[in-house]
Amino acid sequence: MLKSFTSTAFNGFRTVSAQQTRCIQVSARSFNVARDESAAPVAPKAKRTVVSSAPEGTVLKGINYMKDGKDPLALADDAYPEWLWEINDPEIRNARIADPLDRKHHKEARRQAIKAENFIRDKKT
Amino acid sequence: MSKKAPAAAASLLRLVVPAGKATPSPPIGPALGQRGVKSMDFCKQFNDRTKNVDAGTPLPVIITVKGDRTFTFVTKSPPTSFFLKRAAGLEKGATNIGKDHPFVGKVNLKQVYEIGKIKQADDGMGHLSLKGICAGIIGSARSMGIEVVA
Repeated sequence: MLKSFTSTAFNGFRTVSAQQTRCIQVSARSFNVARDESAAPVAPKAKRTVVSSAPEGTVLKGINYMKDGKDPLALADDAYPEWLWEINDPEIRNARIADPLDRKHHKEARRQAIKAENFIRDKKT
Repeated sequence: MSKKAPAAAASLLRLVVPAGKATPSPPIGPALGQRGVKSMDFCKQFNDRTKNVDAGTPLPVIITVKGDRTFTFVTKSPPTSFFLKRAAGLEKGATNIGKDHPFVGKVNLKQVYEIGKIKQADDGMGHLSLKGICAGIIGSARSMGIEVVA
C-alpha cells in the first residue's frame, strides 16, 4: 500500500496540467481520508441561466476556411460543455478575484501593484 | 523566432503566407534567400499543400532550414484575429478599445467554441485544455473590440 501511494504521488509531481492534477487528487483520496474536502474544487452548481443567441441549427459564420467545407451548424445549448457558458461570465471572474485563496486574486493584486508602481515612476506626466 | 543562421545548425523562420498565393518578393523572397533557399521551391510546395484551403487565407508557416539549405515546413491554422474578424463580419479590428469606446463587432460563444476546436488541432496546443484555448480567444476578441455574447 505504501508503495502504490508513492507511485501515485510521484505521478502527481510529473504532471503539469490542472486537469491531470485533479485526477491524481481524486485517486489520492482513497489513501488519505482527511483530505476529502480539499480534494475537489468546491463550486455551487447553479442551473445555467444563459441562453445562447445562436439557437440550434444557426450557421456559425466565419469558421470554415477550407474550399470544400461549410460553416458548422450550432448544436443545442446542452450539447456544449458547461464551462463554455461560464468563461465569459463576469460574476464568476469577479468572485474568483475576490477570493483570497484563488490564484486569480493574487495575479490581479500583483497587476494593480505594478500599475501603481509604474504610475509613480512615470516621469512623462 | 530565430533570424540568425549559425553555420551547421538549422534555423527557424516564421512567416504568415496567404494560402495558394506564395512568392511575392517582399515577405518571402528575401527571408528565404538569406538562408540560401530558393523561394520558388518553397512556394510551389506551399501552394500545393494548401490547395484545399480558401485562397488568400493567411496561414502561419514555420520553416526549418537545415545547414545544407534543405528545408521542411509546418503549416498551422490561421490566426485567431482572422477567425474573429470573419465571425463578426469585420474587415478590420477596432482602432481604439476600452470603456470609452463602443464594440465594433459581435461574436457568440458557440463560434468561439468552434474556433477553439480548430486551434486545438495545432501542434503547439496539445497541453492546453479546450477551455483554456477558448478563454484565450475571448481575450483576443476583447483586445480587438469584439464583444463576446452568449
